[in-house]
Amino acid sequence: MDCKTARLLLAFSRPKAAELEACAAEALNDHLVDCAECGALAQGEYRVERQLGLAMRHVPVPLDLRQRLLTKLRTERRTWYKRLPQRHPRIAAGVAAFLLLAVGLTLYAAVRPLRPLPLELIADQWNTPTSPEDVQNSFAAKGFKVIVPPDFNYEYLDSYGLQEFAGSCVPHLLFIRGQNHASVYILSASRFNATAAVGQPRAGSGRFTVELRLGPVNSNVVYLIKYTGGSLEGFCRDRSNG
Amino acid sequence: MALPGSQHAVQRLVDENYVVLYRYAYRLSGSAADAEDLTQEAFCKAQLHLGQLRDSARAKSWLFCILRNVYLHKVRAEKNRHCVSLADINDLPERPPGPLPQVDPERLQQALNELPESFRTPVILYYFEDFSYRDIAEQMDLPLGTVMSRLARAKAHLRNRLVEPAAAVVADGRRRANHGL
Repeated sequence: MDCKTARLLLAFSRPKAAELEACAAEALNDHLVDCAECGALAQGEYRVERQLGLAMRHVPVPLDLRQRLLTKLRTERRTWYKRLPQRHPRIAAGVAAFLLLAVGLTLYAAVRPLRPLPLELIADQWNTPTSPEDVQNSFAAKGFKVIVPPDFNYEYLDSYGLQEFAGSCVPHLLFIRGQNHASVYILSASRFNATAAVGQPRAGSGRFTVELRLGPVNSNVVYLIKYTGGSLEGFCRDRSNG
Repeated sequence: MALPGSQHAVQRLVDENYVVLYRYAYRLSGSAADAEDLTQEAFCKAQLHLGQLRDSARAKSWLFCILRNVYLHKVRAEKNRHCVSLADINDLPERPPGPLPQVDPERLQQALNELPESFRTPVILYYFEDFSYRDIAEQMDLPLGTVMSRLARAKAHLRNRLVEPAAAVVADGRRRANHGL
């Protein structure tokens, strides 16, 4: 490095901030060591820079400045929150409405009467035989317009509701008679290939039997039935009695 | 709508930066009262917009930037501020090695006050030393070359006024520096 370049780079050589690339800084340092004139000039420059830097940072700070700043910031913060409703009336109204609603709901939850659990009434309701129409209406209220299996004797209906089957939520009925039970899943023919499936023979594991039955004409449903006892005869209505 | 930063975060910001920010404000404005006002206002703005500070390591630069904007806003009306012309001052006067006079901080402030803000800010930031040329360029939203050029001229002015009061600094080796224009 020559003297001209070294004196040019000297302007960018700072003790604390790395302004020069490492290789340039190294070359400059080598030159300053080798060249007495540039070395002396650099020492002078660094001294001037140091003195100016010291003088620049020599500013007495008021002793209680920190406390005054924090007090001012606290005041500003309080003022900001106090003026919030004026600056953003819609947001303030929204927050007020939300708080009122929350308070109202809390109060309601605290004072509302708890529902009774009368066992006799519940037992009566459960003992009352459910008709197929009742079951269909109940499913319709949940958004499932289906026709329940008409051949079953609904005096044996223990419970009904929605149940998961093959990733879908489907209507389900449980019939119980003595030691045996029959589970009926009502599947929509628009979601399952009922026509192809119905041709299959019934299957069983010995513990229970599974079979498929088509629903009534135009019902668009197929019944998947899992039952114990080897036969569905016991769960079906006596045809001779109508 | 920006919510104020949490009280804990703001207090930490103040604790870590109020000294250096006040000193910067003092050097920019040249008076203790103005420096305190500027520092307060800068922290108030920072408190309101603390959410904008993504990288806490950049807090100091961010605060310096806010303070400078507050300062510029305040002095916008002072269009006839007395400043020297730096047109005739060399970038970096060479000086022979030898004993140097101590720099009086008050005289330094007088010399700073003579500089236009666009020259004063980079030289103050430069001598606070944590800031690189690139930091200064980012803060002032200026090209690096412009910052370096302004710095060189401002430094030359300060040396001319403080370190070498008797020595004439000659532009291009011929013209003399012209103070108080």
